[in-house]
Amino acid sequence: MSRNYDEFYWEKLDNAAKIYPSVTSKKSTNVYRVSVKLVEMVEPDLLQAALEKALEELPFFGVKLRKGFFWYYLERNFAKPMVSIDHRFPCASIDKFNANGFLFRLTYYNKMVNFDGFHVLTDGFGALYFIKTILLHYFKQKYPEQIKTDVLPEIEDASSREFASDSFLRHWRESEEVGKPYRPQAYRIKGVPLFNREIKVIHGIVSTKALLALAKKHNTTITIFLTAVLMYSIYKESFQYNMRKNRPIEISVPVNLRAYFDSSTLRNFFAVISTGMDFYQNRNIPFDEVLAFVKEDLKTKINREHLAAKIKYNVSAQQNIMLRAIPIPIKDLALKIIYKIGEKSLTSTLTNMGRITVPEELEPFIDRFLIHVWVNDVQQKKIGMCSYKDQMVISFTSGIEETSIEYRFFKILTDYGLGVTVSTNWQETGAFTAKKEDKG
Amino acid sequence: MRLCNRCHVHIENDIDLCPLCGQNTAEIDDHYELDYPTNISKKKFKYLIRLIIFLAIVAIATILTIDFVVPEHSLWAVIAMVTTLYLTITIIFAVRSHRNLGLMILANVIGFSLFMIFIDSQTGTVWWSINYLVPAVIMLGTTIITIIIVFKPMLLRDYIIYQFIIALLGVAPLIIWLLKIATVDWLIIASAVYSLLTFIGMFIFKDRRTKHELKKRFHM
Repeated sequence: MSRNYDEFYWEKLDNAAKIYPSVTSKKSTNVYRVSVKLVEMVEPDLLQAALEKALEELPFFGVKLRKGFFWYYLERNFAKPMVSIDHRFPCASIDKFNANGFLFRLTYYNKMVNFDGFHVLTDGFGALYFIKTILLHYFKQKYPEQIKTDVLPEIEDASSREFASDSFLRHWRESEEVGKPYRPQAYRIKGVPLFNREIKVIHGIVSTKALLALAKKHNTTITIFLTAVLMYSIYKESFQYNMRKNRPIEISVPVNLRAYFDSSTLRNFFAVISTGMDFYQNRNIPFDEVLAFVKEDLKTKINREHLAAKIKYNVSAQQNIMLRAIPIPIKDLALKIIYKIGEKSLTSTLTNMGRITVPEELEPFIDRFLIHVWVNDVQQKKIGMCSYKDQMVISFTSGIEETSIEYRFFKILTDYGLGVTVSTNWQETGAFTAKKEDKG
Repeated sequence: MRLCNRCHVHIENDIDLCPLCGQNTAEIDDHYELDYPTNISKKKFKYLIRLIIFLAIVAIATILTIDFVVPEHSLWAVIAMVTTLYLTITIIFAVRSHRNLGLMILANVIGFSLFMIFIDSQTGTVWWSINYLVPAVIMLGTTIITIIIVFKPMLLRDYIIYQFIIALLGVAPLIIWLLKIATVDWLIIASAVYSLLTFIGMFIFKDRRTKHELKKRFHM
């Protein structure tokens, strides 16, 4: 685009992004990480060039966050985007200073390419599209003879206007009723916090086919099956030792709205629904009962009507002229309180990015995709998962030292006969064993 | 690759204990993966700020102790304490503002003015601060930002809001003068006129950018 366009380009935040600048802190970074593990070592110079090319193609990502008098907004960032070696833990905070002003950070380490994205910019779908564009340019430079494709297959017919548009505003009038927020306090996983708010990641890699077969055998989908497994693991390993208060275990499941509404936007377009079960009244619930409950509960919630009502609820708050006219410092404070109440109604989150595909020519060079979701004081454990080819990577992110929920979760899967390979970012072996040398 | 015989999972990383159950693991082959850095960098700024705050507390405690021990009371303790506070806040602000020059200029204009008014009020109150110093500091701040905007028009969007706030402050001493606190008027009036001219200049020379910037900042 021309210089003139760049200088005068600005964009309001989309409906879902509006809350994030106000509620982001060191305690809750609202940063997720999409990683790609390549087959070979990453070449930083090529990655840097690929990033610059991708930003030219998708200028919407080259923005910085600004504070206005009533709202935050986005405008063009003229700084140079920098690729750097990964030297922090996943989902570390992105503020206006530590990423050259950009709302994302692209890092590499051995075979990993990591995209840390601030949720103000986009959701997982947008981030995936961006990282796939970067990968396409990366491999086009590395293997010019082998890679001939120029475009990603997913979004063939979308203008740049559509990419940067707020789809919430396009679809908010589709529902008659306005959804109601669900707000009782949920059970909270507690433990010893990690040093310096680092994040412990444990990936469990299973075969997509085998997991799908297992879910099919229970007459359900992978997301619903694993939501039930997570809920049961939290009950088994945390709740049943801590049953002082009657609080449900509430798991939130973000839903990609592009699957239900016509949209090709690369900005946020998701809704969060949640399912919670009361374990306080009935002791010793078997896993099958949990699964049956989650299946029934999510069936009523993951459908177009329910999601449309959710969109309407979110957008109508934003349309209210009285709320819009509140100056930003007061808005920050109010949104913080609302967000905290919302967060307290959830125990954990399970994000399934689904099946990830890349152009066929790129397939031999990519090993796997991994999703990391940030954690905060209220939700100390979250799951991000995605599948690529036959590898389903289920990633636990944790803000606490304890890993018994992860243990129970994967134990259930291995008991069903699934082969699980575990990978972690945690190198510490214990207080009495010396730390290993850095092999990076 | 390692194997945990309790969880029945394979482990890709070269770690002795199973990340799930903490049990010792058995080696299958010596092919390991290292996907994450092992040396995580630590934050330095936070420590620096804590050190500065602690040193300031030490300094103030020392001043108070000396003031308490020494029999005759004088002004120096209050002035020394406020000076320490002023310097501490200025340094912390400089570290935390992360090279945001516009914000630093604004903060220093306000901070230095208030500090000088305080010193003035403690030492005889002839209002040299309001008569001369405050308008001069405000004019200096406006001038620095004007120079930046003239030579680097690209940075206008970063500085304009601070320019407007400082220019508004330029009018403030006028009110003090109208309330008959100040005794000398020529510099105060000059500062107010200078601020007004800066406003007009912004809209005449940088009209498109200025209007665009205001539209963005105040969108509802």
